[in-house]
Amino acid sequence: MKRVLCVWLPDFPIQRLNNERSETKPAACVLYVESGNRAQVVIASAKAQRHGVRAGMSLAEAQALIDSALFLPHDATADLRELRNLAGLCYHYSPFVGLELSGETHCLVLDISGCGHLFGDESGLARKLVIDLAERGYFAHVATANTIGAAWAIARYGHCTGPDRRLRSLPVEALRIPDRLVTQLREFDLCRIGQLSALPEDSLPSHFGKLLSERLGQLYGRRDELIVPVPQPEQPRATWTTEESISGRQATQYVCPDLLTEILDTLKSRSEGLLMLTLLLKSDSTDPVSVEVRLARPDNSLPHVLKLLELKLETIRLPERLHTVVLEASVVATLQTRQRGLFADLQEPGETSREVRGLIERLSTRLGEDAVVRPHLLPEAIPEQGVGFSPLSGTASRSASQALSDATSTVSASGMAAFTTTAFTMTAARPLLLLPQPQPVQVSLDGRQPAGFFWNRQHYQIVQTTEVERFATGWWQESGSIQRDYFRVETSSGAQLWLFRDRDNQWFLHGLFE
Amino acid sequence: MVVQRTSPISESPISESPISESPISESPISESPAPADQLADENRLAAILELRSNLRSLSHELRTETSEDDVVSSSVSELDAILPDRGLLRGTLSEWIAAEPGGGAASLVMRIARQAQREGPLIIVDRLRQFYAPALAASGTQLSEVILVRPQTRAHELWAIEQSLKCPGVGAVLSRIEFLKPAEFRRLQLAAESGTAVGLLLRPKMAQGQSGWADIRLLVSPRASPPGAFFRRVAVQCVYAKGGLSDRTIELDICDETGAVRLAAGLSDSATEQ
Repeated sequence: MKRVLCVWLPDFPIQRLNNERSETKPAACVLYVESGNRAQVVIASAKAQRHGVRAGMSLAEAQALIDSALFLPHDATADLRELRNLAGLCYHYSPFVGLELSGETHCLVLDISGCGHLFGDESGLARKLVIDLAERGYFAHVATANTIGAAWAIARYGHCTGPDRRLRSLPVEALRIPDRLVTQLREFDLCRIGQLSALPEDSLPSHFGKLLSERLGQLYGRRDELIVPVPQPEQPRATWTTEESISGRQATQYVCPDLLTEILDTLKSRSEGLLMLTLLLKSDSTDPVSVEVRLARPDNSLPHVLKLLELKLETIRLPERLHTVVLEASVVATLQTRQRGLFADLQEPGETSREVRGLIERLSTRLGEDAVVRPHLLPEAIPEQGVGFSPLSGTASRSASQALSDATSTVSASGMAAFTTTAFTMTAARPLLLLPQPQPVQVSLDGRQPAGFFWNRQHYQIVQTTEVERFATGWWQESGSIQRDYFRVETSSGAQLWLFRDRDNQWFLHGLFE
Repeated sequence: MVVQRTSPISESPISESPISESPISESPISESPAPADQLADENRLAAILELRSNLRSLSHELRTETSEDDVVSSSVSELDAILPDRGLLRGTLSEWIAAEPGGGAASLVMRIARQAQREGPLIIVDRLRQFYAPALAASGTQLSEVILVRPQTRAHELWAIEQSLKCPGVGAVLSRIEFLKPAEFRRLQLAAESGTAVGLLLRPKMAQGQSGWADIRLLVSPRASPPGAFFRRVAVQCVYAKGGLSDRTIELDICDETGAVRLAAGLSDSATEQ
């Protein structure tokens, strides 16, 4: 079932101006538009309305009613631009965000089918969105319904219905029809949607035109209506070019901080943080060099990102004679903010602290993403294949709890039986140090059991041996058919080591019970 | 370019100032007005605090005044007993020297690392790529709280250890490192002091002859376990402990199946006598 959320921003031009110009907030504000010799009021703030200023009256008349108000020209383009910016914010909540400007209102329409559970439920999503908008300084009415028409009608007119809160009790204006048609309907004493629904549907077009029956159909879901998505805002990108080429060191010292500041300022205005930053260095002498910096969590702190970039640049050879430096925020995400608690040091279980996240990012940037990992167990029979590693950087979505669930996943040995990790580790002890490559050793035998061996130019006498543990894989597996008999042996000095004998009776040392 | 020296400092160098001629004891404190007196008191207090903080880095007794929360127990009371603070202090380095490969030093280290994980993640800097995750999990370490750092070069390895030790919020930093120059060791020790982690260094036998900056140096040697026993026996000797009694040895029996550790039966009396 399709679910649509509509956000109505009442008096949007005034709200926008209030946010942009702090001085307009206390004073009454009247916006007008000039056409020819006549200036007409388009919208007036609540304070101005209390003095009798109404939309549609001439500017001179409004000025006569209230002289202390702020009279400003209406900038519809800026309103639309800001509304599109807010649509960008709404993309954090829905994959489809459109504008709905009928009836001179400023509304955003979001297709939230299947998105509600990501925020708990639909009301959780709506609440979070309202808070986000409030943080940007916007007051909004929000409604959720099955159709765009119904969501819009409830968001815009839901607060002025009576005790009957059904769609039928809404005024006919809630059908997104022009004022002329509303007047016409009122002449027939048709004020509520319920009254229109009661009329035969076939008779409506001949009396009031096709639009009315179309809007009624869209309201009740009998007719399809699509959300026309607003294009998502482009990723911030900053470019610096010069005619006189500069050295790589100069670029990193002077140019990168400026470009990064520019990008982070843009992201801050969108309440977003960097997840991946790409630096492109174009040179006269060599091919362009691209450097990527990944972050574990969205961040827009300049010193931190700059430090990561510097660490990354230390690992590469910077080209000389640079003529263009391009910095792009390749992957961005909403900043994860959490309400400050009474106990500042209280941390949710499994959550890494900010300092540790910073450390992970620094280590990953300098040593490489594959060098900073979290191990997890894999259901593989061969010991060296029984561990997987997941990089910790650039995996914002991967939480510690997921990693934990990996660790407790089932492990099957030899493809025959399945044990949980706990059972697996309790029943069979494994060496703390496993050699990356099994090292061949010369073993002297006592029957089938090893009695001594040479390793590292030293002879070890075996005094105790545990029972043999066999690891085998089937021929159909990628590693082919492997069969190993493992022995945990104790030498005369008490050291414990892990030896195995393969199918060809070759002996190897594989681990140390360190 | 000729620089003309005009500043009064250059004309009267500091070395020529008659400090010795005006000792502090002769300064007319009683004649100075009250605010100056207060200022002198504050300076003195600041100097005392600075000296105390300097002393704290040198003297072990002063550091233990901090809090019991800073002590990470090994969860083995017998092992704690030979450590000066009944455990390892956060913000310090400890060296665990394995007398022989496969001697059981790492299994004891993992006990401390497991306890330290309560306060933050365990970072294992493993250049040789030898630490084996299933065994870590079996030793009770939470794999979800383990960060494995696998640098390619020795320089990167030292840098990673230093960064990890410095970072607040880290529970423990564990690394198996063979050779450390004194300057490098000192650098790691200073990094550990500025952080909150327990620094655990697993060293080979050759490290015993090298000087170190760790607060505690323990030598772990394997002992032959009795025939048919289901445990392994190790001897732990506290070779050096800052501010505590060193050269104490205990023998422990470790059961890998259950994880239980107890004092080796034959030596329990002699150990308690110490």
